[in-house]
Amino acid sequence: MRSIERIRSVGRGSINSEAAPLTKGPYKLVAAVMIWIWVAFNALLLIWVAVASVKGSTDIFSQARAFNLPSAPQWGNYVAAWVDSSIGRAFFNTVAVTAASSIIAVLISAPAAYALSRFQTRAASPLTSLFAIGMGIPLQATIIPIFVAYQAVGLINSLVGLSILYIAVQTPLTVFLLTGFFRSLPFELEEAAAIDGASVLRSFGQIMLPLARPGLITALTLNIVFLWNETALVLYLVQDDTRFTLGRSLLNLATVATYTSNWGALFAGCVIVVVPVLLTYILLGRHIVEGMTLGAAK
Amino acid sequence: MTNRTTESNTAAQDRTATAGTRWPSRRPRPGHGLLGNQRNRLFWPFVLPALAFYAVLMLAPTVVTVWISLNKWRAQGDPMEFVGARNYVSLYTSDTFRTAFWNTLDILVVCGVAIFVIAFAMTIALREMRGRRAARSMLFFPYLISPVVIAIGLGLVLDPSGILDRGLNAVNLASLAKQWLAPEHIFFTLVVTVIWVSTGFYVLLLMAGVERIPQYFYEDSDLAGANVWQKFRHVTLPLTWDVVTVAAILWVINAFKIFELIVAFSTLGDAPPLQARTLAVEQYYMTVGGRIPVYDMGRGAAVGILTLLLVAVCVVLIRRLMRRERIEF
Repeated sequence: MRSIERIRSVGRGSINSEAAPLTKGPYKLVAAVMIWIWVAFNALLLIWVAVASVKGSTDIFSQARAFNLPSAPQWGNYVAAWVDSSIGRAFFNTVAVTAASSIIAVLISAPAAYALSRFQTRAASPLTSLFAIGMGIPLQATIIPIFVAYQAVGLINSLVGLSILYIAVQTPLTVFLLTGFFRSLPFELEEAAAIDGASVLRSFGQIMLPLARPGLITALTLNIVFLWNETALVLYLVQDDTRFTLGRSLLNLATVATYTSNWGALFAGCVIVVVPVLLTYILLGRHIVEGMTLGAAK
Repeated sequence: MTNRTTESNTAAQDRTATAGTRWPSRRPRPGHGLLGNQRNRLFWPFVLPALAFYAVLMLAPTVVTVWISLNKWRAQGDPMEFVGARNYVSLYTSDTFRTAFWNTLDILVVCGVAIFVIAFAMTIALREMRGRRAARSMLFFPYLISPVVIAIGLGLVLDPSGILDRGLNAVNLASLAKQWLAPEHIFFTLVVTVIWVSTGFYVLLLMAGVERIPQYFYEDSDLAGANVWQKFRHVTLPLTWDVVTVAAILWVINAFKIFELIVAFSTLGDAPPLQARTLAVEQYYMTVGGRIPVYDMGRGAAVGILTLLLVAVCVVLIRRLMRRERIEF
């Protein structure tokens, strides 16, 4: 029960702090001002990048026109980024890799988390800890043998190879999140299903999975956001620019822009990377916040 | 894996445990054994797919990395030569590595302290602030953005012809204007950036903890005339201690991951300057990174193992240092 309440309170936020009287004192005021300055900076930077993405490349860092709005939006920057600089191809690469890896990671983690949290086997507890350790293993400790092995079997420069690794990297977190969710579901439902003669598979597929849907969405959303931005493994494993994902492609664009001064396209590229995350945050922000705080609020 | 010694059981439970099955559990649930046998047969089929991915692509490579770190090896095609601890000795005597090592620890400690102080200060203020959910969302958003975009976006601010230096010149503070991304200032810029990007996440974590504290604790303290600091010291901190512990562990894990941000800050040159090197960056340019990769896999593996050990030591230390009697409320 406690854990369900906790999940609810994390998800919906303030349950009990609404009636708080504003304590007098300089601290509250100073802190509030600082927070709003911080918030304003974040918002302005976002807007600034968006404005730069439709400015003429020579205007962005120009002495005279840096603070001016463009007289007409230069949508050509987006064409330059999408087509000429292959952000378009990188976008589809990223969508494919992110979608495949996030979904498969949840698909294999859900049954594992279910078994680990609900089955009364000796191995369950040590295996749960073993998965949890995975969240702390830095990629530096695993990447070298993976690089060599991928080279040997031809998975360097392969989006499939990258996806397989992504699934493995996201599995510990996904198992951890889902274990928490399954644990919070009432046992009585499964018992009732068993009494009615439902098999374990059926009770998992038709009772527990639908009940754990918010948890599955949370895990999926977190995987998507993490993998969308993942660039480190791509730096190690992908050198062929037709196989670049967005972060890597943007790095390339930045390097090129330092020679060509095509800054407009670079910031257009930034917007293309950020907009899907922004949309996800607006639509599924509750799930992101919930997933990210779940481990801590235990 | 199903070794009896892997889990501490009471003698009573051991007696009821027959081969492969074990119930009742610590908290016996009536009627739970109904599914028991069928469940236990399905345990491994349920767990194996996830375990396979995890074991093959994370656990096994970690073990292999230990072995590679004891060899001199320039990747595929080059015969491995066992050199014992020589890679580690070579790192210990390397100035570049030492710089990267201390930079990493600097980030861990300096950014860590700053992030937690600011995050707590913000959380306390946010608790009673109007529009706190909107503020929290905006504080947290940079954490969700690709570090590559963060670095490029900040370029608009930090470039010599960017907003910051331009603004400082305009208000006659030209002496404060700097080449923020030049080697001599890049580390400072990096530290501030990491604090800026990460703080929102820890505000989110701490707020989740603070929102669980019943309001009457604060009402009581108000009646007793407690000030902001006293309420923090005697209510907020003790009641969010578990959250703070987890947050600290997450910070350790995240701090060692900082990598793309540094690469993206230095897209100009071949590799980030020495001043901005961390262990992660160092390993990349020691192995497959840069225009002409060095492929020094043995030393790179040693960096990886040292990173892993540092994470482990920090996590254990945090757990030890922060262990307290759990407060139920």
